[in-house]
Amino acid sequence: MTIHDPVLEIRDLSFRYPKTHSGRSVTALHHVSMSIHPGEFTVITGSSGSGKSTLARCLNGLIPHATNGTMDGEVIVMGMNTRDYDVPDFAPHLGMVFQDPGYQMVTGDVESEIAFGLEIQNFPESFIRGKLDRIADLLRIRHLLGRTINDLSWGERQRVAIVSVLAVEPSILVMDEPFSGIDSSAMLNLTGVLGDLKKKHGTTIIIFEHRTGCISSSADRWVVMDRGTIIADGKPGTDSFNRNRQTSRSDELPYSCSAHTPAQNDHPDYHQNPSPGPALPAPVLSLRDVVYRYPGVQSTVLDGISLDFYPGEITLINGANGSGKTTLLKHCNGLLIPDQGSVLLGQDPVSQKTVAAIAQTVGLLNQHADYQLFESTIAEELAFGPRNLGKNEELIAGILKKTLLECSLDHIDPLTPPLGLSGGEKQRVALAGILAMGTPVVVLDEPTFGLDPGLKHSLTELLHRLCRSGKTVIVATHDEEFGQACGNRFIRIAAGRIESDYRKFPISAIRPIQTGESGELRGGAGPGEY
Amino acid sequence: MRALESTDDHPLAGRRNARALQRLLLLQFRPGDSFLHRLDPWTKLLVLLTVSVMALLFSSLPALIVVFVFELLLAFTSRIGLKFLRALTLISPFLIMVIILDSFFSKVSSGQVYFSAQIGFIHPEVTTGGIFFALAMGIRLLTLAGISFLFIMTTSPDDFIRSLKNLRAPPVLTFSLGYALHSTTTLAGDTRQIMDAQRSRGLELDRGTLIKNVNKFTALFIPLTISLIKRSKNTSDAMQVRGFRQSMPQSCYKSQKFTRPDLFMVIMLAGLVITMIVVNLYATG
Repeated sequence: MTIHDPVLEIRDLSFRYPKTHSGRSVTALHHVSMSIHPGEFTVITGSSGSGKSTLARCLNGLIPHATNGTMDGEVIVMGMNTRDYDVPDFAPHLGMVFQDPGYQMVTGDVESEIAFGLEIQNFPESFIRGKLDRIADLLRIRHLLGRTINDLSWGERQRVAIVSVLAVEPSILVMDEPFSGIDSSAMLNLTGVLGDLKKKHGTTIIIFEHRTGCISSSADRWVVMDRGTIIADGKPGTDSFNRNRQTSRSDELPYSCSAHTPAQNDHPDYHQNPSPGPALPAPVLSLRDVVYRYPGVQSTVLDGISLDFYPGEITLINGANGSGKTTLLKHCNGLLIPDQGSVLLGQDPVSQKTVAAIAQTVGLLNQHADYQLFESTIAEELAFGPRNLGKNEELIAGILKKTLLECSLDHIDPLTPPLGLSGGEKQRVALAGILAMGTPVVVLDEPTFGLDPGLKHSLTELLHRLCRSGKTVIVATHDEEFGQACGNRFIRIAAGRIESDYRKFPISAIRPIQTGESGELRGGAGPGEY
Repeated sequence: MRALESTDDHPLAGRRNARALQRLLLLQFRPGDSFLHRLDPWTKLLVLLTVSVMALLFSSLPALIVVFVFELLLAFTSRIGLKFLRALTLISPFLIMVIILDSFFSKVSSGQVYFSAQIGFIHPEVTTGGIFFALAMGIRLLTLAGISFLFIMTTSPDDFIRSLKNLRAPPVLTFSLGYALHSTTTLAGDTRQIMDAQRSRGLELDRGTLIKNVNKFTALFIPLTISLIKRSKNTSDAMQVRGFRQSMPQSCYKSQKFTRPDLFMVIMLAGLVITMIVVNLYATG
């Protein structure tokens, strides 16, 4: 093999998943061919359901060896055909970082995690220790050595995952959606690290991502996928690339990242004053000097937070991983009770009621859809909340129809089991389950996780409609592009304190639109992740 | 582990049962750098075995006091003394039960009789000898529970797994054991998250007894099962991608060695055994 031979070659690759509950057999890849040369930095992008995740699993033999389905064609990594070698055989050559770095961790502490791959290859102890020492500096994680995995934030876990994969010095690094869980500063950090790797070590890098903002400058090559085929391939800006792109239904273009980092002073139309304007409606939900620390821990997660939330407004809560966003949201419906200060729902303190009683007023959506779906049909799943709130069946049937339409789920048979759906669809069923409760306050924790730009756009429209019908919407997200498109009020928290709080428009400028709007809205409801 | 206390999905974050859970959490590894912490896990296992066997072999009060004092010394030198005592309160219901039952239905009845009765075929009797016996049984229970607590509180699961690896135990065994130990943390976090998600949808878990709430458990049980299955699938993929194979030999990046503190501990154990034998001879003698 010479230096100019491709390190990775995909020849006419097709893959079909077995039939799901609903009898659909999803073809995830259609005759994909491409080759990747040593040292190339490739970004493979496309909407949810375009086949990105499936393609990623083909690169190290997880398909065909550890996934059900039918594969045609060939994938050759470093001269090894994935059909002939088993998944562990590729470990020394191709390192893979999964979308959720938490799922990737196989041991309990940082050092063992990094040593894991080397131990498996039976390197002597002294060699592993030396290697640990050197590689910790490469990605600047020396301060993390000796900590337990559970202690780490998402961004830190991700860095540990990268280091532990790089420890065995693979020639190829594959990352599946590395940017979906991290905030913009961690994004820039990671981009820097990847640039270094490419320059100093000549690592071939392949990234599967739809939040493509930050990497546009570093990447050598862009591959755009749609419905299981490659629709564009090349360097952005070249004619052939652009011509092919036109046909894409996905609207994610390589854009500059900095434009989306909101520096409040840059926007003259932002009202620095957090006061909602002259016509002050009564706040629906108020936090008064909330201080919270987890039992047995000295440091405070929330350190004196006071906020008022008003009807008809979308409030975006932003902040780095681990800044206390989720903790703040859990105070909104009494899942957590402040150590000091109080949370008021209208006039009543939240601490006097049970969470189930508060659910009449506040609906909170958890980050992970999997944590709440359990019924045997979508219809039952949506009815669960309203039934708990004591609504009668007739009313529920009406709510059901409306909510399914609102969340662009009306194309799926309501008798489908929700657990058999794709990732993006599950996310929408979970959201529909909260909206069906019809609470005046809707609180969403990271609702955009794993959604492509098309679906994010329909979520934005849905939230705008909710807000126009007079609901209070509170969203925690680190996705600033989504936040800017969606919100009116922007709160940034750092280390448990409010760092900034400003509005695009004074609240009096938001004119509530009377009801009677049809909820027609169609997102990119494709076949889903796979 | 410590981790539980610093993340958003803290299992204690709920409003109810927090205190009870917090007490149970006393029974976890407390990182430290004391004499006991630095011992090879195998030496600590030897301590656990010796103390347990001694506590079971001897039944005289003085000998049991010796072994219990030895245990307290270990706890206080490893600077977890107070946490250790608080953890011991976890078994107080059993302790009280054992002492009361053993006072009334003692195997030993000697000395002054304080109480005696005949109810059917049951013959409760409280004597001085019986009370001593009951106290001895109480201390035996404390010693047995205490030494296991001490082992758990001063041995990092990772160190323990590592020392198994050093003995060239099969990778499948060491890995599964380690993974199981870490999973308890993730499982607790998942359970908390699922409960929170369903309570947010109006599922009432704060009121009513456990039995009344049984029918609500599907709403918790199914998501928990799903997330477990998903996790194990993900981990198995991740392990394969990292090159894990069942049968291949593996090295270990940090080997444990039998050092001076370990030798010192073994000598102390020998001393303990001799002292107990001597004390027991005098006591029964």
